[in-house]
Amino acid sequence: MKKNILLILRSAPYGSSKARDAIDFILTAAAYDQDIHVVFQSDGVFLLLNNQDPSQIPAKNTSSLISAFEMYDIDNIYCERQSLTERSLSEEQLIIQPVLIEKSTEIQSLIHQADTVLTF
Amino acid sequence: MNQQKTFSLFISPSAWSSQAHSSALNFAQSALKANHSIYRVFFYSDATLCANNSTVAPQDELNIPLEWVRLAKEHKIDLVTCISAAIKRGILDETEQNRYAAETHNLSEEFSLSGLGQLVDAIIHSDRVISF
Repeated sequence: MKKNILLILRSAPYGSSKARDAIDFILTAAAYDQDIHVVFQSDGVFLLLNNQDPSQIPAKNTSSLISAFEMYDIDNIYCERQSLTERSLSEEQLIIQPVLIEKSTEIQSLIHQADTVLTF
Repeated sequence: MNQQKTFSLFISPSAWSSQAHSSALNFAQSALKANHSIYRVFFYSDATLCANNSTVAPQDELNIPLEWVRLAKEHKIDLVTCISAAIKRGILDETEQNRYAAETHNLSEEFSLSGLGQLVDAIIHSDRVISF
């Protein structure tokens, strides 16, 4: 059975294990052929930033996992434009091209459509 | 009117530094009292620490791991601990102890170690998954 699972990623890639925990779940759910939607919001947009190098912290680079989303057929990827703007980030700095969310009502409708929403 | 639902619970924070487990236990008890069912409780991240069978609570505090064990015994609830999150926090069953030649195993009897696929399975088989 296929369920619509919405993941809202609001945590920075490093500094806590949340983002990594979320990515592990997303890749597992994709392997189980679920209908996955991922929203990057708040500090979660840093996950999409290109040229990351966490080797000095040290931590594993999460961006290669994000790049792998396409290979797992995870195509419904969204990013809130306001979260990018607040952090002085532009679309050109992102490793993938997400659908940009212009209005918070769009997130509302994603939540409304989902069977399960998990926030990390 | 009173439609029965199947719930699963998804818990990430530690049992000792957040309210999450107490709230989840209250939710589970209320849901069961209202004739709903709990398909699974999935423990992720720091929440896996409560599958340790050697936790000792101060006398005037609730022993949360023990409360989970009680609830599971009484209502036959499936308590699943994420295996990768658990083993890096030192929560091992006998199989994992042998696999990694660890000194001891400490997984509480009512808990099992399994993969994130069990969370996906819980989402598939439940009407609602509640995160704590």
